[in-house]
Amino acid sequence: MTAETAENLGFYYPEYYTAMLKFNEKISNREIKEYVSSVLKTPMRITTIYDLERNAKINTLSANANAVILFILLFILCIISILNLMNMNVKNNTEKFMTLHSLGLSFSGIKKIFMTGMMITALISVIIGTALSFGGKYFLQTKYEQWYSILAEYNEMQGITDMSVSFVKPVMGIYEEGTAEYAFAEKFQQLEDTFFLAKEMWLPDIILPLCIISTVILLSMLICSLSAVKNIKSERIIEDDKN
Amino acid sequence: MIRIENLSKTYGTGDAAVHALKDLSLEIKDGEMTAIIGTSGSGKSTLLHALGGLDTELSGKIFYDETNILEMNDTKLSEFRLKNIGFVFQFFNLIPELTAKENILIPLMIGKIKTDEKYFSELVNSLGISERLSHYPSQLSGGQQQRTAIARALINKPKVILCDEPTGNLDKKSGNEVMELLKKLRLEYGQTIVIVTHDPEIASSADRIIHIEDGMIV
Repeated sequence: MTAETAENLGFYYPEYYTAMLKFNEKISNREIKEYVSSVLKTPMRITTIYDLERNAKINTLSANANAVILFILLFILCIISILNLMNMNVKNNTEKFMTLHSLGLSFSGIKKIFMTGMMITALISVIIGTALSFGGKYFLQTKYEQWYSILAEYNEMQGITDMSVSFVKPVMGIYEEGTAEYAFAEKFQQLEDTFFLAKEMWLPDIILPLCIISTVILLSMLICSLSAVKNIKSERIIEDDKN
Repeated sequence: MIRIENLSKTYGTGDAAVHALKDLSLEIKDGEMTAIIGTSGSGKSTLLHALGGLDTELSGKIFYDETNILEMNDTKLSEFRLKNIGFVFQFFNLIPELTAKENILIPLMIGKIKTDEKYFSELVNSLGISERLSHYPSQLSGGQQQRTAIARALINKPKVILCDEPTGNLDKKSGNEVMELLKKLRLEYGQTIVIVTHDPEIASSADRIIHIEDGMIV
């Protein structure tokens, strides 16, 4: 690979050298770097397998942190909305509940009716939310696997067999239109564009439960909203009737 | 018999205190139709709600025969109300999502009581709503809604019917019809009826009229 091609492919360094060293005793990452520096004649940036592992961990943590922050924001927004909707629901139904109370239903019975309604709403949301989340996760996982297999195939063509050490992405700009490589890069780009957030965000295991909870909350909100709208509508009919 | 002893109700405290009922005592005989009449804010609705056990934060005693309902907890009082008291409201208070029939049967559903089909048919025929049972409240006229509410109040065969301005939201013709129905039903089923109204004409059809002003009988 020439330096120019490597730069076009997004590499910061014009050339990579890979070396596999075996040490007889366990030594630190710093000691490995010091040893390799002492062997090399020209100064070079040295990246060890420990650095790659550490970077991978940082990437995962960063993706998790992004997901958690997104979830917390969504959660706060949903809780505020749900509380508001519940208050509206209680307010809209107060007249009905007081009518039922006057007909002989105790306050504990009223509470039971309200709670049952909420539980049914939550249950419906859990079922639909879980199904949607698993479906979404499956879809994204499939897309990721397609994306990764194309990347692996391309890297193999470029002579890179171990993608955990380094990899190259097919970029449309460096190939002529109509060539097989261009078509390959185009397919890769299209697939990459289907991810509306950084693909790394979809990979951590934390995403699925977060997706389920978020979808459940959102669906609860939707059902509560529809219920509140229906109540407002019927209250209006009664008010119109009174007038 | 209903016996009220030294009933008092105060809203608010200190200078802002409003005495809705002041040391009120009263007796209502079984089978009697009593009208409680008074101006707005005189305490007549407070008295009716107290009689129905809807307001229990009062001082004094309310006896139904020998039972003081103010000593009961919410569950027992609700059960007592379910078995012994029927309410008719000014604005009908029907559940808009339920049909007329379902609205009438609510007390039976609450009490998990089996419907007496014969009595139900008799009642809806007497009230002239047998053709309207599958209609929703919004599809009924004001008079029909109030008749449905009366049927709901009577379905449990309660001993006492409490009516809060039952004709207040109806035109004169429908109002008179409702009063005639209440009188007819009392003769048929022998209930004690207490009607709160500010209309002297409506009150005149009762056996007894009680005037309330500033929370006291005058």
